[in-house]
Amino acid sequence: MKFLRHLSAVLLVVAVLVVASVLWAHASGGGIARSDQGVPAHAVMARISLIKAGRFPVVRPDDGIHFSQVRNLVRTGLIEAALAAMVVAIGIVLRRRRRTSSRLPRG
Amino acid sequence: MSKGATTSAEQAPAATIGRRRIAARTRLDFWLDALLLLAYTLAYSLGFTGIAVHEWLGIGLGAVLLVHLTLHWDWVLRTTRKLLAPGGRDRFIWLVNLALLVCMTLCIASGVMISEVALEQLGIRSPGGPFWHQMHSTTATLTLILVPVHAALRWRWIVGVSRRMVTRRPRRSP
Repeated sequence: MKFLRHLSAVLLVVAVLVVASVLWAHASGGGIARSDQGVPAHAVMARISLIKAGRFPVVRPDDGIHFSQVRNLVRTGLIEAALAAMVVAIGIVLRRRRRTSSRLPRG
Repeated sequence: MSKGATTSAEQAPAATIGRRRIAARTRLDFWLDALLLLAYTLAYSLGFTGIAVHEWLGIGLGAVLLVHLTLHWDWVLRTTRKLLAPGGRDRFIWLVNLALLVCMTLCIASGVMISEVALEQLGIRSPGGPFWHQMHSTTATLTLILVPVHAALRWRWIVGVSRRMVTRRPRRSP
């Protein structure tokens, strides 16, 4: 019962965010449905330029996992690991500083 | 992830911290969080997964995120109430988690809007549009920054639970 109550609260929050984004898209005029165009031209051009520059791998819809592009996965993992390590290091430094300052005699 | 960490860590009394035994709820939080991190890392690596796996993984990630948030809704309510109190330590974590919630929701929603494979397989036509493409790209980048920060803010809990999981329980003597 509690789970369902919490789930409905979560769904409400998520629904508010989604509705807000749809309204935003509507207001900006960029989220209008394109029944016959599919991916917008500028997005296609941007992707082509990335592919040409070698920064965006060519992906075909039904190919599944591309083991040759494993460096793409490694790069994501490295970015995550670097950021996490930075946060952990900052946390350790702040904790040590807090401990040191609390040990110092007052006055 | 940190929300899970907080909930389990705070629920566990101090006396049980040193024990080898891990509560079922803590174990569930740990594995669900690990699954989410792995799924997110895979989903972000579009070049590796290909578009179909990327889209289905993203949709699955959205469903598991709902469960993750539901399991830690108590923490959200408790911390939100304490926000105005002086000396709230969880204020920064709360802000990171809120930003992550917004970015992740918008990333998945915009991903659904620009879907090329998954929605088509379900017989639904995605609306597309430059707005959703831009939003998907921006929120994905922000999420890539926020996810490791979210996890790292509770690294002590992660290390503690991992250590207890790896360490074998000593056998009881008859």
